[in-house]
Amino acid sequence: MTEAQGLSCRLKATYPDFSLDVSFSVRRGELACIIGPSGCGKTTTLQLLSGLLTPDDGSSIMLEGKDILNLPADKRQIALVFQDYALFPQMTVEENIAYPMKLKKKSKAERTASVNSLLELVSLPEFQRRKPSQLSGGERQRVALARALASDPKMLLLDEPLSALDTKLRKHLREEIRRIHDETGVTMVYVTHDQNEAMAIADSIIVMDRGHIEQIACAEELYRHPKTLFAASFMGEGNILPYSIITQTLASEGNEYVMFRPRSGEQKIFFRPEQVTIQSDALLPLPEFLPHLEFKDAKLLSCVFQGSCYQLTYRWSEYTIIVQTDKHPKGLSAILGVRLLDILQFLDGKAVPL
Amino acid sequence: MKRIRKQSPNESLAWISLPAFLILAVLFLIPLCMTLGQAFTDGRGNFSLVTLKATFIRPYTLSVLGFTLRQALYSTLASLAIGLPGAYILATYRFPGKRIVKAVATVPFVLPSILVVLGFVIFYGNNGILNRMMMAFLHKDEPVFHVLYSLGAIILAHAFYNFPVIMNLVSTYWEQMDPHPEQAALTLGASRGTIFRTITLPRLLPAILSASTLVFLFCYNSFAIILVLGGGPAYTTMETEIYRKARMSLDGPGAASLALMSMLVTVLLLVLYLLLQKNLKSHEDFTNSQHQAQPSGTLGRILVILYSVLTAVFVLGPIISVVARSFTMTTGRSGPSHWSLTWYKQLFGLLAGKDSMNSAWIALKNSMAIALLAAFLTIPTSLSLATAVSGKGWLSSLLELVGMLPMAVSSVIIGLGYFFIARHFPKGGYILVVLAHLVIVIPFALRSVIPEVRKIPVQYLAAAKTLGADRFHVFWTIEVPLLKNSLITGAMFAFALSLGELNATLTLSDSTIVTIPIVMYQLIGAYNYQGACALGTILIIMSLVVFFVTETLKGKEHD
Repeated sequence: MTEAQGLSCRLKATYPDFSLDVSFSVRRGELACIIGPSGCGKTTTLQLLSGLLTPDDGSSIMLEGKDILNLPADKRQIALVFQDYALFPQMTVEENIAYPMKLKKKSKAERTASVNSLLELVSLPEFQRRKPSQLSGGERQRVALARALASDPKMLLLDEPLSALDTKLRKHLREEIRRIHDETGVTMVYVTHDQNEAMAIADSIIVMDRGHIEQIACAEELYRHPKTLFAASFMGEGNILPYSIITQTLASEGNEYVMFRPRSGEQKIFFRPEQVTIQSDALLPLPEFLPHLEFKDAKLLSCVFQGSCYQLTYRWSEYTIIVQTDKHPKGLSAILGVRLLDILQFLDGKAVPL
Repeated sequence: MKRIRKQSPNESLAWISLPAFLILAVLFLIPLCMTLGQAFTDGRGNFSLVTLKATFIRPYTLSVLGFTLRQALYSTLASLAIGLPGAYILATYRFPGKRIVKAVATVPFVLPSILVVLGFVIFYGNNGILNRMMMAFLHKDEPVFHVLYSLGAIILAHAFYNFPVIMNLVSTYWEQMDPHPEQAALTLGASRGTIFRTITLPRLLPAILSASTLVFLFCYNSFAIILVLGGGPAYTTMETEIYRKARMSLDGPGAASLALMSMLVTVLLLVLYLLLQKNLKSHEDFTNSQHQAQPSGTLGRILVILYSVLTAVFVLGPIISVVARSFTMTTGRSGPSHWSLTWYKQLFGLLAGKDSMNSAWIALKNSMAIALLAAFLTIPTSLSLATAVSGKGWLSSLLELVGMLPMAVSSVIIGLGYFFIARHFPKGGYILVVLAHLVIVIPFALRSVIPEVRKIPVQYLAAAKTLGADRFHVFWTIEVPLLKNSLITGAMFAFALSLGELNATLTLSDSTIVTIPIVMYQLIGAYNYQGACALGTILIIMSLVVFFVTETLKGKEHD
């Protein structure tokens, strides 16, 4: 808790069916994403931060150098954009956005000017007089964002703000949110269960599972060097195989296998589908010269066209291997290869440093 | 929708409920204690269990209780028989005029019981419009049917009053049920009949049972209908017996002990109702999907038209007859009649009338003043009570139970309590009437406000909080505006209920207190039906105003 700027927190909370213990920091002006499966505690984390829930003893929340743990929600200056927007149905768009400014007793002229510029910011000019019921989902989301910004928060929390929208709108709006973040410079914590969304907009990503943090890193680091098997498999597709298959598949004259020392505990290897090379012609060898694992006589189970690539599922021995390739496979069986350099090792779910 | 963890929803807002809670306790508990106190005394005011014991084991009391339960059961069954087909039609079909059918069916809700009584006498009576029409049609000189002053009349009037309760509650529940289980059953090969029997009916059962309990309770506590349409000691229920004991036999302790017995039974019924209502909430995931179709086939269409027409005649017939009769003058008992404004002239004091018609104008002014006062007092009281009750903790549940308690206690018993108080405050007069009305109307107003309080998503309050609003601001800027319509609706209902209130007023009042229903009751007793009809028409106009305002507010709800 040394950072004086931005957010730095330790949150503990216990519920009958669930307990949460997380600790993380977000630099001022940063956009951090919290991702994780449903029920991992993302929303609870936001509610604890915003003061809608009270954390257990031993928690701390420092925002911009101030301890805000004991402040009620309305004094924290942390705005929250709700998943279902929570626009006040009886108020117009303008009244919704003006609401926090009215609470701060800002003058009418000031409020009108701010509402106009905020609507400009979220690309909804001329929407002042509409009621929330007359807006589409995407428009409601923008109004909710404008209303949250109108409170001039020290930090903005967003709880799966785009999950109720269709794919195309989601992509567009996440870029809008990033743009609004860059224009306002407000510190944001953004919760989502969609790793693509997180990768697209976050400065740093916090991966959560069952009430604790698995890893905090930028998108690329998280994808290439996940610290846990959970983080590895949650951030995109991957193949998880037991360590024992190495001896059956290692194709190398060198002694690289030394780096795959057997250890006590549950040992797994992991690699991404796009790291697999395929040789469909049984008569030809695998065009791989670096040390690699070779899965001979893998049977094609399915082939799914995904636009820019094919996703293939192979059966090798008793295991399933997912492969991504840009060419349609030629036969029903193939040799698959993965470079040793691309393989990650995990011991009891934790990454083994090479 | 994601689950939002919710904690202490109305933190630090308990103070809002405190004044209302105190008022209700004073208004309700004091008269109740007076009544209970009387029940535990002998004739001379000493503590004794004699009266209570005598009442509880007297065969006559038990037979009265038996008849009360019996007529309530028959009435409930009759209401179900008329209401359920209507619920089916409203829930499954979309047809032109559906809104009108729905609206017509809500009319009895706001009609005072004395008006229903009058309408029945005028419409179904031996000399009533229906009989005259049938006599003319069948060329007979004798009335075709005799329904008045019998158990049949009581049950028919109760069904008139209560079938809309069944129809509305069940059809609303039905409409909001997720249609997917039925569709799934269809894809699994079940026929429509099988689906109704095995899927729809079991899903509806909680709603049907809960609505039936409510109707049973209403019929159990019915007063004016039994008193007038029953036509005598042959049909005595607990409520009419309490009234007779208190006001005719002047047996205070006897009436009080009967009241205690009646309350015990009602509380039992109410507990049953609350339990059923809890069940009702837990099973269904309500949706707003509109899954209705046009009536298919000739049979469906005929069914819809037939039901609509019969409902209209059944509901509107008595009401229109009252209005029509108020403008007529008959020479002789069943002689020819002609149009006349005599009754209105008498009503507004422009012409001297006979019987109670002379006090009609005063009664009109009194009733308006009492009802307006009761309605205005209802708004802050129900707002604060509803807010306190909306939480989830045990305290809220307790508060809700206490808030609804006046419903478990019939208005006759509340009137009895205030009758005992009136002995100590001989000058209390109209103030006591207003207070008694307030106790009676608050639970009804709460029933329109509490569901709206519960409907407010916790996110709205959380959003306002994160935007910097403290608890007080959240209440004034978010909750109160969202509740505005339901508060007005509650106040309108309070106005209508108070305007038509007879039971408590009659039980507590002495001869110096006159209100519209009391004068109507006296006029019916003196067979001055036209005079009663003129007053009844005023009540109908008021009820219509209330009805239209509340219906308009319903349409204006936020989505």
